[in-house]
Amino acid sequence: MKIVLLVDGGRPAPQALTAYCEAVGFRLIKITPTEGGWQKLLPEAFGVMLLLPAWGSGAYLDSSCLWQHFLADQYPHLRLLMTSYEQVDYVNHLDLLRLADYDAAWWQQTQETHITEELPYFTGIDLSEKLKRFFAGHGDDSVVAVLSRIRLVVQMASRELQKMQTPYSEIYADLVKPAQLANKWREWRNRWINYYPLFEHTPLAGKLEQIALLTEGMEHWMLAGGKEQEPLANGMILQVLNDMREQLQQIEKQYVVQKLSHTYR
Amino acid sequence: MSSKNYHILIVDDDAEFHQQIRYAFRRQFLFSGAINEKQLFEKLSGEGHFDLILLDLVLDDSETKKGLDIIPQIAQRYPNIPVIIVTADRSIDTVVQAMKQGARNFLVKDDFDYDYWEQQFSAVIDGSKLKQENLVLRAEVDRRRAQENEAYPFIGESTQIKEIKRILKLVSEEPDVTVLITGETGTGKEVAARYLHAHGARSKQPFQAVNLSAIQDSLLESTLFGHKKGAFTGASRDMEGYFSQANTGILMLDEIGDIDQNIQIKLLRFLETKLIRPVGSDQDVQLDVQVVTATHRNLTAAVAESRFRADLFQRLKAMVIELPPLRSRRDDIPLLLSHYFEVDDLQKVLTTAALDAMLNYNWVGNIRELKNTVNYAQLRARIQDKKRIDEHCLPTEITSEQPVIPVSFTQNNNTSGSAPTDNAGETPHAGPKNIDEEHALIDLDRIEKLLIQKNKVKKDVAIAIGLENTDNLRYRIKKHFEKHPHLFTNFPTISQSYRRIVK
Repeated sequence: MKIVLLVDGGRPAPQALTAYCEAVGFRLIKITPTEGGWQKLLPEAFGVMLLLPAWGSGAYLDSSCLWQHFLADQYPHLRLLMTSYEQVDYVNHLDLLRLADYDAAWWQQTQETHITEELPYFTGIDLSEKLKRFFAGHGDDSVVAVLSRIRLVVQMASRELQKMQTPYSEIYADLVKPAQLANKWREWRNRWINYYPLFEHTPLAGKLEQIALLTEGMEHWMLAGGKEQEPLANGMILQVLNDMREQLQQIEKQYVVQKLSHTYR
Repeated sequence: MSSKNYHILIVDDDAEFHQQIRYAFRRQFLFSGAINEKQLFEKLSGEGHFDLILLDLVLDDSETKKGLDIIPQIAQRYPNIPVIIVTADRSIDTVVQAMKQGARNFLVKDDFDYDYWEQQFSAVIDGSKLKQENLVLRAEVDRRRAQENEAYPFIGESTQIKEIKRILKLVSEEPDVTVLITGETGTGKEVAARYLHAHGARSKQPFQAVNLSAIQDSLLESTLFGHKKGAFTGASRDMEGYFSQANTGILMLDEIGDIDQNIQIKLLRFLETKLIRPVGSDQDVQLDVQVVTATHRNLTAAVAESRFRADLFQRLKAMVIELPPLRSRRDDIPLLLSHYFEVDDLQKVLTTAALDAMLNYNWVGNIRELKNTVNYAQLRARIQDKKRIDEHCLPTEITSEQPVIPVSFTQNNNTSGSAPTDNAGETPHAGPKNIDEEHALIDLDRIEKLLIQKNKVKKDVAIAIGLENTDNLRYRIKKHFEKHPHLFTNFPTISQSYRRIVK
């Protein structure tokens, strides 16, 4: 029996769906993207099924574009299947109200995942758009912009301390204190908390989870406004910020597509 | 602070960013700041010189990329100040737009890297300064070239000269046509070539003039086409020839009628293929050189006598410009005298008798002879303590002699081979076999007389003829002797003074 991995999006999957799948020769296995291990099942799977819309942070969410990016990039032979109660005319969509209409032949004519494929519109916030705002250089939604400003100060301070041997009291007075790191950190945390749960049903949930863990290691130093010399002197703070940045860059590279405008295409 | 003291203007609405950049680079650069467009232009117009502008694209809360519109304004009003975009926006669209508008580089705040940024600031400033220095040097080259052209003015308001100037201007619009300038020695063939250069498409490019008759035959090929190290004894390093030095510009080959067949073949090859091969090299070099040639010889006759290749002559005479001798445009003599005496009114420096003598003289050495005469007369006037030059300050042949060579002779001695329009004058020795021998005879007769007059002082004879030095006089006599050795029995003073040649 072939395997289909189910992302239920924080909503209980209908019993009828499980029964239907088994009737046509497919076994549904529920996966939780925030937890590790689910990616190991992908090479053997027939596809990934999303129960749409997902539910999180008190809102309906559409994660289909992000899954499309992930599968097209890493497992293009897998089918990205979508199931909902909406009436959607799409080759890989399964209407939960009309399961009896989909025989075994329907599964055979579903399509593999292509990045160019235009996905249907589902109710809920389009998470690919949200992610773009997350990475935008400006604007109130940008998480990365605030982190960049923090990293800029930490990078300059580390260099002064380690390379130029400038006394930390001087660095703190001239650079770190005026930068108001504690305020910036709070701003970053607020934005992060608003965003991060939205992506728990997406393939990037694991990476965001890692970033969340990284932030805990330096929260104390940040909230103290960077007064302590040691975490900066031993490179820990800058290292954590660099790791966070690297994780974020990986996400951006994989999921946020740079599109050229018509003028410069 | 760096010894260079570069002054950078930061334009960013984030005051914290100003403070951080100032702090980080305080040892290397001097900074000023502006937080919006208005302040930016106030600083640029009021605070003196800036070496670099670091410009953010978003300068207020509107999130519009105003910086993109500011770049061309800066480029237009302050073209020497380079702009680096420093922004949080990393989208490809924005990068492309900024670079198209004229930004020199694009740095993303999120990618801050101290060493890289410092290197970029310095590189852009140094690059900009180098560009400015190049512009200054270019202007200096143009200025010197203009000065050089001023040093070779094409003076003349006679009908013939006006027409030649008109033709030269027309020809100068054709940067690839080969031009042959003919005319007697001293008629201003190089001046005409420089006039062509100054008014043409290649005016910003090099101009090289080389007198082929002044270069030893054995060295001519390497002098023109260059040589590789070890190509011959004494070739201790690679050397560029005149052709390479004139690349993209004009090369004037004077006395083209004097080159041997080997060089004629190589010149023909260049004119047909634009390729040269330095001596000792196995590689051809492609060059873009407009060739202007000049000669006082009758090339038609030289071709008939198989001394000059007919195919090369055909290539050279694509455009022939014949300069008239000075005696056929006497109207220009006062203009030339004014130029060389550097006065507007000749009466201030010349007596009427002296002027008349100069106006009536035949000027066999043409403008060069006139120029040397001016120098000679000025010196004589100083020696004789005279305020104005009178006929006693002039060389004796000007005041005492009748014209040596009639105008009709030189009209007969042209490249087009047109028929003489006047009767040939009396020649001192009868029976020349051809026009070349007739020319030699007249020339030798004149030199003979001058040697007697000048007590055999060769330098004075050279000056009187209009030659630059005694080497040229010796060369001239040698050429005559090589072609017409039998004539020398008629000129005992020359034979005595140039015993080694005649022997």
